[in-house]
Amino acid sequence: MTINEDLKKIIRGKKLRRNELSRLPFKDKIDILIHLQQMAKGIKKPGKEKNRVVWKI
Amino acid sequence: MEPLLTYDLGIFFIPVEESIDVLTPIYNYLRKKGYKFDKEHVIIEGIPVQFIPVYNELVNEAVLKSVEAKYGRIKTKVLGLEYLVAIMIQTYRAKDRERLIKIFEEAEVDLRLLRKILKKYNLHDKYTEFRRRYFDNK
Repeated sequence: MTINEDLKKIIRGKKLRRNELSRLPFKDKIDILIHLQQMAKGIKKPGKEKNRVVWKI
Repeated sequence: MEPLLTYDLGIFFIPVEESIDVLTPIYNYLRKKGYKFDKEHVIIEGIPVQFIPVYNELVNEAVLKSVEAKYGRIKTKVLGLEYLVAIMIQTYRAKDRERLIKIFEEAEVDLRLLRKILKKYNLHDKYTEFRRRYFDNK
């Protein structure tokens, strides 16, 4: 299977975005983490419920 | 590295004196303050926190050379990226390998510093094997 140009562009774009995110200041990364915790709040994972909390900072 | 979903906060520390149980004084203090415990975590203001005494020379040096980071106006310290990489090379669990791949793809690792740390702690061969396996020496 070959990867066409469109898919290559998407992969390149995603890599670029991840690189941008990796250079964010510490506070922004923590804010994103809290946002991720909020998004994941509704997703149930058996046996791992207890400590899946959204940080209140 | 881009932010990844996590729930607990790990605090590495260097005990002031050698003792078999360096965690007890911390736990006793927090218990008196009314904080609850859940397995290895203390729930501090809603955040599951794990206190980890430095367990070898590498982690000790990583804590000593930790770098300042700011959350708003609050100053804190975090382990330097190159030390974090070296620790993950040393522990080398499946989740470490997964994170190492992400770090080398996304972050700017100071390879000179990393090689110095790896050499000092005799981890260079393990690192070379990791690079060969996942990056094919690119």
